[in-house]
Amino acid sequence: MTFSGDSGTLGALADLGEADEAEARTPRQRGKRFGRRRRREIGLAYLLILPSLLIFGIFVFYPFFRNFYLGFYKTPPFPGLPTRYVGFDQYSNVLTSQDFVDSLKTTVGFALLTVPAGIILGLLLAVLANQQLRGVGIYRTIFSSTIATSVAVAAVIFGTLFNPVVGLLPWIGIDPKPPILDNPNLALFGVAIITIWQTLGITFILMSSGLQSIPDELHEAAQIDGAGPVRRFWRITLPLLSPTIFFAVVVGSIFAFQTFGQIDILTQGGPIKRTNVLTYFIYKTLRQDSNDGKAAVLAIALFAITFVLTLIQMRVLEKRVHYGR
Amino acid sequence: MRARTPLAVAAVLAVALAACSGGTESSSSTSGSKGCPLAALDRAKQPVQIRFWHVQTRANLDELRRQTDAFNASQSKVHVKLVDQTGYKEALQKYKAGLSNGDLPDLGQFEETAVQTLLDSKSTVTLQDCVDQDHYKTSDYIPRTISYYTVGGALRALPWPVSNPILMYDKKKFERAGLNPDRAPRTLDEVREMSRKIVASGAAKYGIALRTQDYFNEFLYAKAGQQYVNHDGGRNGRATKAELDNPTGKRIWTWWKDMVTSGLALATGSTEGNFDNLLSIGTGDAAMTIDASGALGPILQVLNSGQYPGVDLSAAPLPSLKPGGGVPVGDGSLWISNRVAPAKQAAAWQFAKFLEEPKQQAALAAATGYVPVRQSAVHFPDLQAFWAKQPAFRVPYDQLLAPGGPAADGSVIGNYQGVRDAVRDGLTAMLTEGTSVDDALAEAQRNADAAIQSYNDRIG
Repeated sequence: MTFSGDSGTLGALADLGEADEAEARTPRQRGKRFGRRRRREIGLAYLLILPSLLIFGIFVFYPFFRNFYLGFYKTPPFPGLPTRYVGFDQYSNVLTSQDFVDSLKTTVGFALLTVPAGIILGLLLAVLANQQLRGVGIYRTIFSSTIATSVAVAAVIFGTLFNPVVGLLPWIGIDPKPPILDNPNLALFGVAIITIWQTLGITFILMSSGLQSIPDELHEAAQIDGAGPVRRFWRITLPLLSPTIFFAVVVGSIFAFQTFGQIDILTQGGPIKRTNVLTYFIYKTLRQDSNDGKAAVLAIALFAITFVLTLIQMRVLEKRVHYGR
Repeated sequence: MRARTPLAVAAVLAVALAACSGGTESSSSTSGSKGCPLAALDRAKQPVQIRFWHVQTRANLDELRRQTDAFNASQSKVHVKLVDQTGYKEALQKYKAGLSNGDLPDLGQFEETAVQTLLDSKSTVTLQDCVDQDHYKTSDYIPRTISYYTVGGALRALPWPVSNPILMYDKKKFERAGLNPDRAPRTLDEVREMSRKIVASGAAKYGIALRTQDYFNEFLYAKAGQQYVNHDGGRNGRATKAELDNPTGKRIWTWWKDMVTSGLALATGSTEGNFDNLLSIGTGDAAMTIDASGALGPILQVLNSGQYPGVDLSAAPLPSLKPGGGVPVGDGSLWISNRVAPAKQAAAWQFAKFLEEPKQQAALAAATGYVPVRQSAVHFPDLQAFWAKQPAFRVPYDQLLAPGGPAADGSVIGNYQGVRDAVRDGLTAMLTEGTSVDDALAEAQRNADAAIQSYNDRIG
C-alpha cells in the first residue's frame, strides 16, 4: 500500500529481468530428470549472486526505499526535533511547485544543449581522426585528452576563460554584459559548453571505436559502386555506427541529468536559478535548507525521470538502431 | 493535521537516536545541559583537550595559530587544537550533520547569519550563564557586537572576528575627476553625483562597481533604520515575515537600478569568489566599490604589488540612504557546544575569553584588518601604529562604533541564507532582466517569506 506509487517502475524492472531470463532458460528446460541437478544449480546460482544482492540491498535498495519513505515526512532542520507525517502531500506540493517545474525545464534544457552537440562534435572529430594519415595518433591523443580532465579542473579553466576582467573571451571581443556566467540568459549555455568540452574526450573515443569496428570491405564495395565520401558516410558509416550513437545518447543523457560539479563551482544554481538543475536543487534543499523530506521527494523525482528516460530511449531507439554484426 | 507514526519509522528513528546519543561524550546529556559548568575544568584531568572549528585562512590563520600557540604555552589546564573548516557554510552544514553523528566541536566559529539556526538546535551553551557565573565584564566591547548576539535578553555567542562592508575608492581617480580625494560620498545620492562627475571627466568608465551582493542590501537597510524582518528583526519573537518591500527598500533598490541602467555603476554579478568589483578599481573601470572590510588586506596587497600603478586606495564608511545610521556586525562568532563534556565546555570558555582579550584583539586587527571588538584594544601601540600607516583599516571600527537605531542591531532569521538568496535573485532580475523595482522587490519579499515560513514550519 505504502509503496503503491512505485510498483509501476518496479514492475517494469521485473519485466526486463524476466525477459532476459526466459531467453536464457528455454533450451535447458527439457525433461524432468535434470530437475534435481537443476535445483542444485539454482541454489548455487542464488548463492553466487547473494553477495552482490547483499551489497545492492544495503547500498542501493534500502537507501532507495528509506528515501522514498522520508518523502512522507516534514523533517526539521536538525536532528532531534520531531518529524511530522504528511504523506503524499509533500510529494504533490513539491512536484507541483514552480521551483521544481523551473528546475526540471532547466535540466531538460541542459540535456538538450549538451547531448546532441556533444555527440555531433565527437562524431565529427572521430571521422576526421579515422583517416589513415601520418601522425594522426597525435590528433587522436589531443581529441581524447579531455577524458583526463576532472570536472573541477574543466570548470576552473572555463571560469577563467569566461572571466570578464582577466578572461580570454573578453579579450577576443566576446564580452556580454553581464558576463556569461552572471547573465541569466547565457549562464546555462556557459555551463553547457564546459560540459560538452569535458565529455568530448569520452564521446570521441566511443565514436572512434565504433568507426573502427565497421569493416573496410563495405566502404571499398561502395566506393567501387561509385559512392562518394558523403554518401558513404550517410549510407554506411552512420547506420553501422547507430548502436554506438544510441549508447552515447543513453549514457550522455543520464550524465547530463546528473551534472553537478561545474554548476556548484561556477554558478551555484544562479543567476536567478537559471542553472538550478535537479541535482543542484536537491543538494541545496538538503544542505542549505536542511529540508531532508523535500530533498527526498526531489531525489525520487530525479530517479523516476532518468529511469523513464532510459526506458523510452531503449524501447524507441532500439527499433531504429542497426545491430547487424 | 493528523500525526501518524508507522512502526517502521519509529524503529528507524530509534536507531538514529541511539546513534546520536552514542556519538556524544559520555558524561553530558543529549538534551542540553543548562548553565555554564565553569567548575568542571578544575575537577577534570588536565590538560583538557578541546577542538576549535574555525574558518580562518592565510594571514588570518597565521595570526590565529600564533595566538593559539601562545594560549597553549601560557597555561597547562587547557590545550586547544585547531580544526580547519573550508568556510562558514560548510562549517554549519558539518555542525548540523554532527548533531546526529556526534562529530561536534567544543568551540565553533560560525557566521553572523547562523544565530537562529544554532539557537533552534539547542546544542550550544548560553554564554550569558558563563558571563554571570564568571563575573565577566562586557562593558569594554563595542556595544553592538554584544547586542547582535543577545537574543531573548541573554548573550548567546561572543563576536569573533568582526568585519563590515565599507566604501573603497581610489583617491587618484577622485583627483582626476576634480573631486576632493579626502571627501568620500556619505549618502547614496552623493555616490550618484560623484559617479556622474567621474564618468563625465573620464577618470574611470564607471563611478562605482557594485557586486550584486545580498548582504550589502542588509547593511543599506540597517543604516536607513529599516528592519529586515518583522518582530524587531526577530529579536522580539521569532521572525515570520521579511520586511523588504517597503518605501525604504524601494528607494534603495531604485537607486541601485538607476545607477546601473544609467551607466554610472558597473554591476559585477553575484557568483561566489567573484572579485571583479575590486579588480575594476585596479583596471581603471571604476573609481569606487563596496566590499567587506576583510577584503581590504588582500586588495591592498594586489594594488600595491606594482601591477596597478597609480592607484591610491582609501576607505570610507558605507554610504547610506540618509546621513548617519549604524551598521550591524558582520562575519563570525564563537559558540560553545553543550553536547560535550562539561570540562570541555569550561575549557572552551577559557579559550574564547583569551581570544577576546584586548591584547589579542589588537593583534588580530593589526595583522588582518578585522575590527577589534574591544574598545581598549585601540590603545595598543601596535594597532595605533598600523592604523596611522593604513587609515583605511580604522574605518570599519569607527563605523561599528557609530550610533544607530534598533535596526543596526541586525536580524535573527531562521533560514537567513534563504532570505539572502531571495534578495540576490530579486536584485539580479532587476539589474539584468529589466524587471521593475516594484516587481523585483515583491518577488524578493515573496521568496524570502516562503523561506522563513518553510523553516519555521519545520521547527514546529
